[in-house]
Amino acid sequence: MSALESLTITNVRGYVEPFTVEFEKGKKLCIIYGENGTGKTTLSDALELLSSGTMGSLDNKGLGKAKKYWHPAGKNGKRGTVELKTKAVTYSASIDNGVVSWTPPALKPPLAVLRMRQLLQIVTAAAADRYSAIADLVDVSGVTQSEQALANLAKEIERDVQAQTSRVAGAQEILQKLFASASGSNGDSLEWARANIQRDAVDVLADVRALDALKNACESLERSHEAYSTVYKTLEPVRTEADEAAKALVVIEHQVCVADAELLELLQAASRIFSAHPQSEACPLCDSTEHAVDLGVRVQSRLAAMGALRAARKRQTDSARALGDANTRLSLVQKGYANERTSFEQLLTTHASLGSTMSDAGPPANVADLAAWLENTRLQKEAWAHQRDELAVSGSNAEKLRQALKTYDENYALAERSTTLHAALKRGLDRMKLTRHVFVNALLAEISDEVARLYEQVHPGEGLRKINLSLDQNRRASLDLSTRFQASDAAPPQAYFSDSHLDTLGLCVFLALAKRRSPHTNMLVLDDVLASVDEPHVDRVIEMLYAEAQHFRHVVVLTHYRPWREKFRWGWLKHGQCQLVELGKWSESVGPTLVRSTGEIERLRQLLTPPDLDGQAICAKSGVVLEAVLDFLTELYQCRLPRKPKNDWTLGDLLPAIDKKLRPALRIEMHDPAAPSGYKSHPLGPILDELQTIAQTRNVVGAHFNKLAFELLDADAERFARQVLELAELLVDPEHGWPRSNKSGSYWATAKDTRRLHPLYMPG
Amino acid sequence: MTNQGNKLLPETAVDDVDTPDEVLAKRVVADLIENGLISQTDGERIQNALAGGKLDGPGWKLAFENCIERQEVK
Repeated sequence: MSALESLTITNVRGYVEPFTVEFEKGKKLCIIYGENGTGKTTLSDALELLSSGTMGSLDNKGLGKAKKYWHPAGKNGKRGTVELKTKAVTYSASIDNGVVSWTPPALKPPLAVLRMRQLLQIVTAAAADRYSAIADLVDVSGVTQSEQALANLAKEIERDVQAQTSRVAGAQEILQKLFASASGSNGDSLEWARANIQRDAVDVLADVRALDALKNACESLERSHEAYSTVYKTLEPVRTEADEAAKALVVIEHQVCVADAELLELLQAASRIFSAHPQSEACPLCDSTEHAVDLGVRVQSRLAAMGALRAARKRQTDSARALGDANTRLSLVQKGYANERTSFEQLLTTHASLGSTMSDAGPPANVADLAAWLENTRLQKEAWAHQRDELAVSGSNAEKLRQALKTYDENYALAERSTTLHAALKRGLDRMKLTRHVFVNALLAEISDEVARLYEQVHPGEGLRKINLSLDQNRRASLDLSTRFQASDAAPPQAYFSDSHLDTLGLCVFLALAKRRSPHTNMLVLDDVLASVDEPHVDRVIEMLYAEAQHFRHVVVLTHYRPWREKFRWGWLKHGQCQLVELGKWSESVGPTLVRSTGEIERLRQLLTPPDLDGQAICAKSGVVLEAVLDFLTELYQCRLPRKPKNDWTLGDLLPAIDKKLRPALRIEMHDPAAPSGYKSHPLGPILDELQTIAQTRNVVGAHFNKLAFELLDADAERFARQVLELAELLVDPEHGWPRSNKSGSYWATAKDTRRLHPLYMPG
Repeated sequence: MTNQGNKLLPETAVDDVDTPDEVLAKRVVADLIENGLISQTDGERIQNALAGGKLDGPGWKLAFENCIERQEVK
């Protein structure tokens, strides 16, 4: 935010007409003075509306929806505007029926408003609310969330370590048992397992497979034997039937004397004709009538004889075919057996290492001899089955061994890695917690120290310097405020401080926090924050505000504290850093008004400007200014003055108090870049001498109605006033005030060392 | 950065400065690097996520494991 130039408010609450405050260039502190009811709070409301779209002064006043009171009373339809011009940008907000809009959209000035009623809240707020006030300054919830993820990961890896270690122990137990069952003794099971794992795993499984193959080969031979037996059993009856059928056919063929089958076909054709023509009287073949009678019957008879021959022939054919089939099956069985026999002998040769009680002779060449051979090898077959079962158990143990060793190796490596990772994570988590703790405490300590430093400026030497802000360790987002009070190092200030002290503390906390929020770009608005500060501390609060304002872009203080205005008018404050804006009486038709606020010395200079010189006015004003100058000098040098009940000294008391020792020693060095030493010296003694001779002019012309005044010329009044003005302008720098600092050790100086008043002490 | 939710101080916009989370994240990363727990490269990689509360278990694990692996190689 760049330097402020002006603020214009129109149709906002009591501001019924456009009202503009011009900000003076280079002055970071602006005091807006006004009696109650002159529009100060509305001015701070307008700024707050511009920055945040709210009006804090209307909160908690039982108004319900306070937005309808943002407009002038009875003029809700009127569009209100607030415009803040800076060197770089103009911030503008308008309100229409309680709806705020910004131009340009969303462009709001960075400013914070503190009102008097908030002061106590800052201190007396609940710890959680107090934390929310500083949350943006100390909130590290993002890092805390990531830290929690790290903590969770550390726990997860710790569980992994436990699980992996447990699996390693389980595998070790299995290995130990296998080792014990294999060797019958205790020892290094791991070393044993590694030595045995390869051999067992390969050899045993191969032997088991070989024995399974032998068993299968044996079973194939058995099946060959069974097949042979089955075929052989069916062969004999078939062979007998074939013989018998052949013999029966010979007999029938002799009986029927049939040359060939062609006759049979002829007879079958004749039979069909006689069946169709039973009354035929001639042979259908030769058409002869001889022996034609009963020819059909005779044909049927001969066909019957031919049927037996046909049946005999069929029987012979069928039995011969059945015999052929049986022989074929036998041949297939024998062929299959030959193959099985070859396979078996090959297996036996290949796996000779498995041992065999079998004679050197393998299965017999003829399957018919197989039954005896099978009977002879039955014991060997049982031995192989037993051997195979034993090897299978051994193979199972080998698999267990392999699995256990694999589990051991894998989890041992994982456990080692997880243990290393867990140690690193745990260490990282501890480091992170420590870093966060140190960081947050340092932040709070910095804020605490700043609060304490500011507070000490207002309440020096009251033993209340130590102000602590600390996070509640047992609760999240909770901020404790404590102070060293009497015998306690952590007393809640709310319990022991007066409301005035708590208000001051609230202001200090607000300023300390605001300073941490990029103060050089921010604007502060302090609304009536001096109201509850007791008299002895007001000047110090004002001094503190002067000093702290330099850290911000701009500080606007709204106050009805009259002494501040008076001190400003008399140049007792640092005009170079500060602007005074005075609000006049508010009226219903015009709203607030501006009063021209001019310093007394400047006012005197203006009165002395021709052409309308008013002798009475300039004498009255110059008398007051001279009294102020003499009051300052006599107090500074602790001059002797007559004792009076109210110390209401007159010029007659004050002028002689600058005695003959002091008067000639008094001189002002004014900063002058053209002078060789940078300063030009001006004696004050001659001016004071002159004033002492004409001081009566003030009483005669400027203080009372006095007929003697009739005899004095306006020039006498002007002469007096110009001497006073010369004295005042030598002594007081319009920008940097009065020479009140004795830090040089040899003279009194104004701010920025623009005036040097000599001597430092009353001459002896 | 804004002081949202602040009941005691009004909303105040401020400059684009590091948030406490960002400042702390830088310090945490620097400390972890200095103590040989993570590498410079991983530190730079995780810093923003750490500040934003987005660094999860796998993110942390990778950074720590990378560092352990490098130390084992050495």
